[in-house]
Amino acid sequence: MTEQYQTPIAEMRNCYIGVDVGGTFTDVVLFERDSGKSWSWKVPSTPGDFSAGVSNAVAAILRESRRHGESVVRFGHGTTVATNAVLERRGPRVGLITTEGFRDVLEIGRQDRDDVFDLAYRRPAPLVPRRLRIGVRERVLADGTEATPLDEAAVREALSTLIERGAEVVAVTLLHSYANDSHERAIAAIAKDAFPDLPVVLSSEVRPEYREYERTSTTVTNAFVMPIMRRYLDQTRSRLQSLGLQVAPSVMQSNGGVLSIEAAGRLAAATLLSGPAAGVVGAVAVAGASGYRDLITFDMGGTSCDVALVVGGRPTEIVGGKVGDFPVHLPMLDIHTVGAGGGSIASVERGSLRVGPESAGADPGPVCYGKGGTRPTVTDAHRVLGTFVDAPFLEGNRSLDVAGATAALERDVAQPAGLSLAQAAHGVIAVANDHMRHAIRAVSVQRGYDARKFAMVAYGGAGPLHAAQVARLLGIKTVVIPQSAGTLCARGLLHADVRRDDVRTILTPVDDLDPKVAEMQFRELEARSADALRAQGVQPEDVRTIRSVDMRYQGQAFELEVDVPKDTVVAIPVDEGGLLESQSLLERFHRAHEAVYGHSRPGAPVEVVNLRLKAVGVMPKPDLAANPEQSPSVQAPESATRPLLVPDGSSITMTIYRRDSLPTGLRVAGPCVIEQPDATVFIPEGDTASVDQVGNLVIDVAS
Amino acid sequence: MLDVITQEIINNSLNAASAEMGRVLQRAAYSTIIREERDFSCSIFTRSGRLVSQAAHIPIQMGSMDMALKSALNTFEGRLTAGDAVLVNDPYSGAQHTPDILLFSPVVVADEVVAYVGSVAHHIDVGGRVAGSVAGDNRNIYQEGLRIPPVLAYRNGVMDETFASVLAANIRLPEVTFGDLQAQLSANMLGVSRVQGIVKEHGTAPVLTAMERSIEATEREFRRRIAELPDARGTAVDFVEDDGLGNGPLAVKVAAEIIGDELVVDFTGSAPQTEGPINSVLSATVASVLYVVRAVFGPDLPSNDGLKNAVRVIAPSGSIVNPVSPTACGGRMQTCYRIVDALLRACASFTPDRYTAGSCGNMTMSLHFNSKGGHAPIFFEVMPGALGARPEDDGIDGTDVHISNCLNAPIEALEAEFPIEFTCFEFRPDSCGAGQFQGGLGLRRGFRLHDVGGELMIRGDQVTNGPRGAGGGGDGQPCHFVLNPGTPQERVLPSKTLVSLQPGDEFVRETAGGGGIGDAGERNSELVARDLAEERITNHFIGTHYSHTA
Repeated sequence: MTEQYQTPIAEMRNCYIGVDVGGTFTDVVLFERDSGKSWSWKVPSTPGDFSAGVSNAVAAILRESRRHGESVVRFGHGTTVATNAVLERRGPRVGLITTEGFRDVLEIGRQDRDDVFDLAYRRPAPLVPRRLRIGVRERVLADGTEATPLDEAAVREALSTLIERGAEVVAVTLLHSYANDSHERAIAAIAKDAFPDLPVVLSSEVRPEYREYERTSTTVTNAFVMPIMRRYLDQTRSRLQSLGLQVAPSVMQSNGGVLSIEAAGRLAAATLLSGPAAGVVGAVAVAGASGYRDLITFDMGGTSCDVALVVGGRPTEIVGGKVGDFPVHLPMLDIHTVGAGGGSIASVERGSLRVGPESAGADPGPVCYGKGGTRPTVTDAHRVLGTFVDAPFLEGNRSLDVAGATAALERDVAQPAGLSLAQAAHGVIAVANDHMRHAIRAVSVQRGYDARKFAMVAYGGAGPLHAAQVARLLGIKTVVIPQSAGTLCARGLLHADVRRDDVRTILTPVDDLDPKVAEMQFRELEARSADALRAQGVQPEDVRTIRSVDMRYQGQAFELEVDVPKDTVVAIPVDEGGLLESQSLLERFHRAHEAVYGHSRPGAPVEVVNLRLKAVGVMPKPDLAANPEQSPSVQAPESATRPLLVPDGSSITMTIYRRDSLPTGLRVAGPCVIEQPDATVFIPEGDTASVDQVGNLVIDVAS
Repeated sequence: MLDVITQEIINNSLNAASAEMGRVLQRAAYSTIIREERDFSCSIFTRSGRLVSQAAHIPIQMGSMDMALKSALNTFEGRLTAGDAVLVNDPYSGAQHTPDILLFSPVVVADEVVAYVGSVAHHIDVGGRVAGSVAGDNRNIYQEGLRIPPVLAYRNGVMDETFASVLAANIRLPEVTFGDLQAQLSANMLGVSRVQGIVKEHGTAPVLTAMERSIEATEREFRRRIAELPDARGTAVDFVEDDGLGNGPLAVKVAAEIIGDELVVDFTGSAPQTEGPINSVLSATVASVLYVVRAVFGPDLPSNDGLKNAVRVIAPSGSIVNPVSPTACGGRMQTCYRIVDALLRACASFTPDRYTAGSCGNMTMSLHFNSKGGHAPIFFEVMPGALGARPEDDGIDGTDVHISNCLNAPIEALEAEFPIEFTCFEFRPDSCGAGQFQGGLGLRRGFRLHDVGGELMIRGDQVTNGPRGAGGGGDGQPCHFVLNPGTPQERVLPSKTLVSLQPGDEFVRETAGGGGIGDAGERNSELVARDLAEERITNHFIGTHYSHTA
């Protein structure tokens, strides 16, 4: 995994570090700007206190690279700390203050059930129990006017009651606070006065957007993870300081941008899908260096497979997703997950060979890991076929148990299905690949994109094993396997820009939109974002903002985002008027509607729902194309052979290459396996592969 | 030969295709009722009209699409070619009520029909006496809008001109309805192309075989699960309180009997069909029965025709569960909910671990504002109640139950759209039926009119008797619909009515809590203490039902 360099310890501040904290491993990548060299490392995660794993990883990579902590100018990290807290429901006791009469909105939700046929279905318990939800007398209307003043005495009483009942942090969501936040702010002021140490989270700060249930859920989730995140970030910062790092760490968000540690502490819910987002950013960066900008990212691990679509170098985004059981309404990369991974269990049920969604996970894991697993998995099928035989990450147990995998596959698949062992193993892989084909179709073909025109970037422990076969099923012709397929998330952290999203709900018919007011509101959002980015160390000249407007036909409950190019908006100073031109907005909306939904209704009334602003602080990042990874110049790569079991039950000889011995440009033909330190690549018969100028392995998939 | 691997890949591909049909329909639809409340379903059928794959949408729609397809094939089998689509909404030709329009298309490969795809969606209006076509006091099907037996509505993907002009002349919002029909057609065309792709990939014969085998495997499994139980018979009766025209209560009487590997569901003894619109046509009754059978015996099994073959339904002609034309039937849901409650209870005599006590079905309201300026003209919404207790668990508070699964609209959106201000949306403490396992809490949802009055229509039930408890458990509190509560103008409304509202009036709906299961004296005192602390029940409720814990 590590290259040995005899260079002296560098004193220059030119190193970037990315750390990805996963549930099992913490990955780290160090990139030196001037030399273009990089190092990567993996240490076990430390779930009791994740910051220890971060510190171990950083210490290890500094040691390996022989660089000083002081030389680090940029430190980005992705973390599952917040996600784990939500999934395990281990967090502080949260209190909630709402408008009187509406304290149950959080629990009622949208009143539907996730499983309509399950008589034993249980609604997931909300993060705030009913006794910790209190309504106070006040009312603001949809247009922001105050109908009932805030009952301040009731607020004081509610706060005392919540604290008495054990609340450690308080969330506040009042109706229509996106239109007028004064009551929420008044509650925060009262709390600060009466209980100075009590953290208070306002919905108008977390996400000032209409829809009371989603806003409440987002605010409450943020309140739940905020104290945990703050504690973790404080510990991380002090540990890093003691390693000599003077740079302020930043944290990856679900939207693919990073946030400063202070901002991440406040907007902790924005980091919930930090890891998968970092992977997509890494995939965009490494594939981009090879010239691929339209991508399908394919991250297959032990229990699940994450796929995302990237168009022109930009990952597709959505606002709102679920984390665990709860909606979190913040912008995030549109990552589609299916429960198919190396640990997915195979069985024969009612005449079909089923794979997943049940998974052996990491513990006990596949049978061949020898850790107590008894049911055959996708990984066991690979072991039987010979495509995957060693697991360098399993301590002291590198060689996988073929006898166990064979016995389990015979017993649970081959015999009940009347198949040979070889057919059963190939069948398990075929069904798993079919699941992944449908997942990729869901983000591509089903959204109107022709998958055949995209390149696939495969990573994660199992992605490179399946990539070529899945690509063929979809008519994809090119698969890119990054050099560090197992640490791509950490690498992505070196390539992320600072990002801040803001929104303002205005809910008004487009004909009534006052362009002056809208322009003022956009400028407020821009000023707020510029301040926030400056506070995170971004220079004003590096800030880019993108304005957009959410619109819908009157009566629709879901809106469409329409980009507003600057030139149609800020051509003239505000005081001269007529800036946000409603006719051009309308045309854009109808066009967007046609593109997404297949029809538009030019005569129907249209509403403007939200003004949105994305602010990006452009950060320096590794130039992969200018600094190609070193590739050996030897002509003959190191290779070995082993048997590959084919469907008729016979074996053929397959070549095994070491990835780091493959010279640039040498074309190898399948069937063969290319072993990387953290992943195994399978090239099926008919396909060929070669390492390109920037160090990516590119597979040409035969049709 | 068809192996288990190809079988699974074909099953998955068919399921992906029906799910994708649903997404296309939802995305392309014009009306909020399809797009946001998700009142639609999509399916794939074998060439003999048997259901083979279905996306999980709305159980009441899912259960009997094949009955409408069957009546379509009675007329058109052998005459359909690529690009054709048969449309039907006639409840007496396999549909359920007039607003639900079904559309079926043949999948043609090499000039041969290999399968059918179909979609059903709730349309905003199909004509008739009132906007939305379903009024609580309709007296016959002619008042419920345009009634369409199976017609060849599309040829080569284009709507028949004569049909289009007749339809357009009979409905209130033709632009929306035609848009929604186009969305259904798009979903069908997508389904056709996906099934053609599957046939192209695997070959016609393997796909046809895989479809049949998938159905047979499901049927075998259902029969196996039924046969595991000894032959037994259970009976139950429940009541629809009234039909909106003063007739009632109306009995839904059901006997469920296991005979070998078959389940027989017999409604003999149920009330005769009634004048008001709450009658449940056979297809709606069958769909309600299949929901229960699936929930009891195989929530984990695929949704296909295999289930249907293992169940025999006896529904006397001319009864409330199988009315004859031209009986009104637009408000079938109130009866369907009672079918579900009664049948779950009847089955509980042999599957005592899998049922729920009585639940509160949803209620529908629409408010037609008097002035049309500056806001949308009609506020329509469906409000749910609660799930009854389960044999080892409490019910669910404030949820849509069983055969429906609709979403609510955000209050912040509604207040921006209509001249109203909500006064509450919360659980109703003490509304649950007491018991060892307690029913769910009903909901309270109120709003006040600003400066505009309007005509309010409501359609509910269970205002006299709450959902019934079981095994000694108490009943839930009944629904309560009231104008201007706590004022001199307070006025309690019947379950199905039309009333004028003045500016400033407040209307509050309280839906029923679920029934309990088991003796209240057996309730765990820790749960009683928890619910008291959670303010779900009061000391008064504890004094009445759970004095053993005091």
